[in-house]
Amino acid sequence: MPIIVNLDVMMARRKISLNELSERVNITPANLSILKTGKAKAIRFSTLEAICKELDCQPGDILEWKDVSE
Amino acid sequence: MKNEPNQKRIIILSVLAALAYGFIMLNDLFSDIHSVRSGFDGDEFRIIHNEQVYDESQSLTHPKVYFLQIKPSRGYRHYPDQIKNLKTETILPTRFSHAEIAIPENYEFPTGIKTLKTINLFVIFSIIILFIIIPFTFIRLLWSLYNGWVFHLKNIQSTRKLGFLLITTYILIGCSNYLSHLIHQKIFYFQDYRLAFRLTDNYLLIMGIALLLMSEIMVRGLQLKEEQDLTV
Repeated sequence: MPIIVNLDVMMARRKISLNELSERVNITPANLSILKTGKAKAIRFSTLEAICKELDCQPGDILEWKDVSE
Repeated sequence: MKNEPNQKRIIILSVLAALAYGFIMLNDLFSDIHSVRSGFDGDEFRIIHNEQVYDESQSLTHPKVYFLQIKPSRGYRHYPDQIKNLKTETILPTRFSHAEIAIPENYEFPTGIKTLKTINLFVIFSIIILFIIIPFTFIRLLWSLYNGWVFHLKNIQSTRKLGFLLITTYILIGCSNYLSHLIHQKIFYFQDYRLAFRLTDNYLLIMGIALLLMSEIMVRGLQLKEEQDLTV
């Protein structure tokens, strides 16, 4: 998929675990894991907003586009 | 919570569908059971043959009874028979389209009948197999819907399978009717009447196509559901 999720990178920088982040943003650990592993098909703005707020980052820090044809 | 009314409707419709299907099957079975035992299908009525009335019970002892659909050769305005309306004591012209023809026990059949009958027997056997498989597949689908699994891969497969089964049944019944027509043509040739041929009821074909269409719609629904499930 061309959109790469760098959530694990940001979580490592902020030193926060998956379970803790899921509690803070009010998402189940399973769903957050789906996002972290890149299996998610879509993300709601409300979820993105909550994650950015907790990790104190920009959406671009979490989401990256890469041309897979290269 | 939002889906509760929808889920209730699915449950109610599933139960109604199962009941309706059971009713249709039983109704068809009882109305045709005499025909099934005689080995033929179709409608029949009492006729007078050689001053002897052949009724349903006698059909069992007269295995060589044929149910035919016939039409007058002369066109629309030919009313070959009359019938008395006992309510008004009047004789009314009428035209019959179905006949129950009884032939004597020692009747000599023309050649070529046995092969056609054997082929027809295999076709009928295949139809019976399908009539056993179809309700199982249908009930499995209804049970899955009743349990709340709507957009599920197994449901899509069951719906698709049902569609193909119904279309196959339609084709096989048409083949069987045509084979019966060929057999009747070899045996009978009437003055002022000709044998009519009716393929079969088209509802099986329409239902089969509708189910195939529904299965494709369910595929789209499943894709949307999967996308929704993977939306964080």
